[in-house]
Amino acid sequence: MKVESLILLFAEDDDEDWMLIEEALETCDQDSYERVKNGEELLSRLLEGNTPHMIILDIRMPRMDGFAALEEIRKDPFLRHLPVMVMTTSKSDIDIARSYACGANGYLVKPTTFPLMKEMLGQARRYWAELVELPEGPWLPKEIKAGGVI
Amino acid sequence: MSSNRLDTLTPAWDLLPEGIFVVKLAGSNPASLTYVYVNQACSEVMGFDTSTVIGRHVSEVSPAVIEGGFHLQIAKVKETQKTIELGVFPYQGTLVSRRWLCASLFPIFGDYVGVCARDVSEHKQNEIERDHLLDRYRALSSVVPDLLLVLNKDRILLACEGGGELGRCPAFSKEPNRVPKCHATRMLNPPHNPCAGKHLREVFPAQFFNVIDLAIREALMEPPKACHFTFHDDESHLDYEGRAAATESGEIVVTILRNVTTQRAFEKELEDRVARRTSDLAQSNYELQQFAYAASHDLREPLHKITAFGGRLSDHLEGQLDEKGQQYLGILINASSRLERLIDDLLDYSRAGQLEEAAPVEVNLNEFIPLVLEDLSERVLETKADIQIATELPTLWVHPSRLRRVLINLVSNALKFHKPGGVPQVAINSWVDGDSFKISVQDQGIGFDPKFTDHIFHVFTRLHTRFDYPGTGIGLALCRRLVERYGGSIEALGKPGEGTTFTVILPKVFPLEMP
Repeated sequence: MKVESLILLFAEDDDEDWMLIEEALETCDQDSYERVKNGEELLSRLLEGNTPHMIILDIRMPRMDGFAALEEIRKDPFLRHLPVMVMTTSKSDIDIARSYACGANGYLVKPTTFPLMKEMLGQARRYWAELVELPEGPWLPKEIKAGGVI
Repeated sequence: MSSNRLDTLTPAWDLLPEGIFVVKLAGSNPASLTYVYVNQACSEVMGFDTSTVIGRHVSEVSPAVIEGGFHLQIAKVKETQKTIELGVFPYQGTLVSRRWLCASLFPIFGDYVGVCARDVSEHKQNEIERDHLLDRYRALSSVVPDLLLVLNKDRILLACEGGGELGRCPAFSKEPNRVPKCHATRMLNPPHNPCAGKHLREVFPAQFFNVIDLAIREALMEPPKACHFTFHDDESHLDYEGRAAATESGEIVVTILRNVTTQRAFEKELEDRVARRTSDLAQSNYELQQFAYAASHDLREPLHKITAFGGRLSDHLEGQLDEKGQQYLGILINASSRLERLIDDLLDYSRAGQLEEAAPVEVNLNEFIPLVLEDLSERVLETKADIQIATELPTLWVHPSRLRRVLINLVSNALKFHKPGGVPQVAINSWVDGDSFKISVQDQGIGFDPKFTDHIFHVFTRLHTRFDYPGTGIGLALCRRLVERYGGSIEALGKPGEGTTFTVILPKVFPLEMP
């Protein structure tokens, strides 16, 4: 499935970084976005239903960091289909390797300048909204479907 | 009459290997002592001239014999009519060499006394040699700290020697009450050897016996070999080490036993110390890594903000700032991005000290170098640089990411330090030189003063201001560190105004454990 307008969910604890991101997002107005401030908030938001098209996740966050949140998402049969992009200041090999090992679909280093930030978010949006196909919903194993847990 | 009686005896004597002669002693006058009969063997044994000696006085033929009191012995035999054994004595005849004889004097009848002598030199010589050997053996066993056990194949002790050092420890102490179970102590009591004849089992406690017994069993197997064994006495906390070896015939087994408690304790202490150091090092290494990791985020994060919001401010105030204001803001943004670059370089440098988990792979430089240069294509275009890569380059085993980093740093250096107004000219070559691979990057740039050769590889060391040539002063230090990880080195050759040549030297075979 392709979507005209992406619903993005950001997990970002840093208000100042969020300011930059939000300003950059406002330049592409066809998408809607939401923000949570840590892994715990992210998971409880996802449990509310009305899941976003994709998640953009910071690594270092209080209470529950990005790795832990990502692991939880990949364990949950109702959430594991969601594309997750890590977006962080860290360029560390360890963080990059660990993110992909936890099941990230991409790793973005926060750019230093505003134009680069706009450019990066724009390219990411083009990729996820225009190039690739997204799943319509979770792919559930037979026993869950049959049990009708939902 | 008398000589007739003698004649009946002598023919048989001529056939014997012993020298036999008969003397006649009239009264007790030594001067009257006369040879009456001499058998054939006497010439061989005592060097008598058998054809001329008969009828002559002993004092004439061998005066030394009379001086030695020979006649008195003869007189005694004559008187008592009993045989006298003379035992073994040295003998030197006029016609024979010095030798050892064993003789006995026996009565015949009346004034006639017989002398029977045998050459026992060979036997005596063996005895002397044996005594020497024994002396040597005793001297040896008294100096070795080991307890020496000589056994037969049935584990019966034939001898125990030495063990001086063994005796110093309680288990083998000479004071029996300090030695609860170790019977071996008794064998150490000189001068006699109370253990000889005992079974090994009676001498050592059962567990110890089993260990030694097993080694002896192995030593007795074909082909013969020396077998090593160790034993820890739980009761006394002492450690013993020993060896057993059998003679070729398999009849005799020699076992040595040594107290190695102090040695073991020392070895253990050393092992512990190494283990402690290693774990301390691992810990501090881990902490350093954690520090670098934290630094990569926590230092960069605020800096990142300065750059980003500096940019935002500059956009925001566009048109409102005067020239000075724009310059100030420009310096601010520029400085923070330089600091960011510096932190990244430092992190790379600190990471170059860490263990690479991946194994090195085969890298063909003919393909690899052009690929690396693609990463620099922008700079190459910008500077209009002329880069020549030699052909037929070797293939080596490295971590491509490390070699890539080294090459990029060296080539960027060459691109950077070109002569003002000139175009950078760079030549890259690689070849095998004995046990090493060499890779050289040569430029025709500004060069450097050779007195700074060592200097330029240090962190933060720069020969120019960043206004002339930008950089963090870490690039070459990083190159050297990466190359040293392979047990290699890097050399710089240059003169001011005459270009620089960097040569990377990598060993063909890396040290087994890379630091």
